[in-house]
Amino acid sequence: MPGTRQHSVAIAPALAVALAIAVALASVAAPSVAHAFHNGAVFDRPPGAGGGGGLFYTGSVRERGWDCTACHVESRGRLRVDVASQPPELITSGRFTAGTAYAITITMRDPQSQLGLASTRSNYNGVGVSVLDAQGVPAGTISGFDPSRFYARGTSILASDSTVSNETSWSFTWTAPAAAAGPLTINLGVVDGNGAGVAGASTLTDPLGDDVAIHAFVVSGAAGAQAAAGAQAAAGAREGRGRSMWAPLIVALVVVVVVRPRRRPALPAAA
Amino acid sequence: MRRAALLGLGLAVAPAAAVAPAACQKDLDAPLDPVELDRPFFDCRVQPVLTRSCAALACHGDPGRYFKLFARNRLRITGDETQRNVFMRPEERAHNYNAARAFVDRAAPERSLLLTKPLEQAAGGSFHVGATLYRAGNVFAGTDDPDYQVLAQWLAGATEAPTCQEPGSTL
Repeated sequence: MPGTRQHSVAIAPALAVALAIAVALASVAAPSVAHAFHNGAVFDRPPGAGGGGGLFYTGSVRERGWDCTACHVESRGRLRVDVASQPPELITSGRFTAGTAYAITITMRDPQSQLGLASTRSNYNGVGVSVLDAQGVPAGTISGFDPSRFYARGTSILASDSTVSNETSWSFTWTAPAAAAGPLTINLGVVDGNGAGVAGASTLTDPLGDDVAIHAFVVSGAAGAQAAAGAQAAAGAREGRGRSMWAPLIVALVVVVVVRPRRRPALPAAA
Repeated sequence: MRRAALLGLGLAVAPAAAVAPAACQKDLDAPLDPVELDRPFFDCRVQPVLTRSCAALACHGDPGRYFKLFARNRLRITGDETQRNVFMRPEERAHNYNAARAFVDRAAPERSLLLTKPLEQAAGGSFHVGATLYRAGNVFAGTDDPDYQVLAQWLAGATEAPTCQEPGSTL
């Protein structure tokens, strides 16, 4: 798909084990009492009410990098999402033109293999997005979303309301700042809820057993090839969490290469 | 002869000297003597800070953590999933109060781990694993953070009216 960047989950193994905040973009409409982070508005509720106190856990600098895994502690790290923009330059090149509106779509890959499909009443997935500058200040304007499916905080933070079962795609429009700016970061977190309502479960949602994907795109106002290259480099740095999962493998390979000759002396050439 | 006597004395003294430091240790079974800090201020002002910035399930809402915190929609002391967001229970509030006090340095409150662990090292904080998990720094970038100020005020002896209620706690 044009303008699509395919991403693997950006969570190092140790992180995936250790992480998570109640943040469940995943889910629901609890009948009477709000039991968990069922919808976007809960992130804005006071901590004393069980809310996020204004933290949406998108992984932004404003939130000290905290993301969905702060509460979704059992993420398997298998969720993959595709992010696309139209015009595509925003996602494919990390570049935007001042004042331009970009239609952004976030889609869970392989929806047929998502968690919670066995749930007949609450397979709630969710997404949280923020677009901020390096100081955590809102940048540009998010619009073009269905207000019945999203909760917006200000102009550049959005969290899905997660009231529709089996939801696997979310769309909205981001309009770049009128003046060239950058770098800006689009932080997003997607939760693949495991359908807490399955087989006799006592609640429609919970923060456990879900999967999470976290991504960050650093984008800059188009001011020439140099700015774009810088944005890409920055994007790479931010997405280092994804690549960091390879680090242990590389280390292990090096160890094997170095240690192996000593443990297994070279054999004579096979006959 | 004299040498033998000295050696004998040395042998006799050595075990005692070795034991002496141990004898200076406090009785590990003795009850703790935590600093007395204002409970209403904690419940009303400090608890929201801990809930928002410390009590995530991956952090101090992990039941395996030494500094463990209970909070609504996070770790609860009892109950099933349907009770994760019920009002804070008295025993949960008492636990949090005592857990926080255990990280207060009586002699130098400003150096308490409750303040230095969540503070960026460049701003005078201590090493904090939590600052490395999400790669975007520690909880408080500087001592001017309003939430840091709340903790500092509590340690400095700030008080609240007993009627003060944690915002949102009745919702």
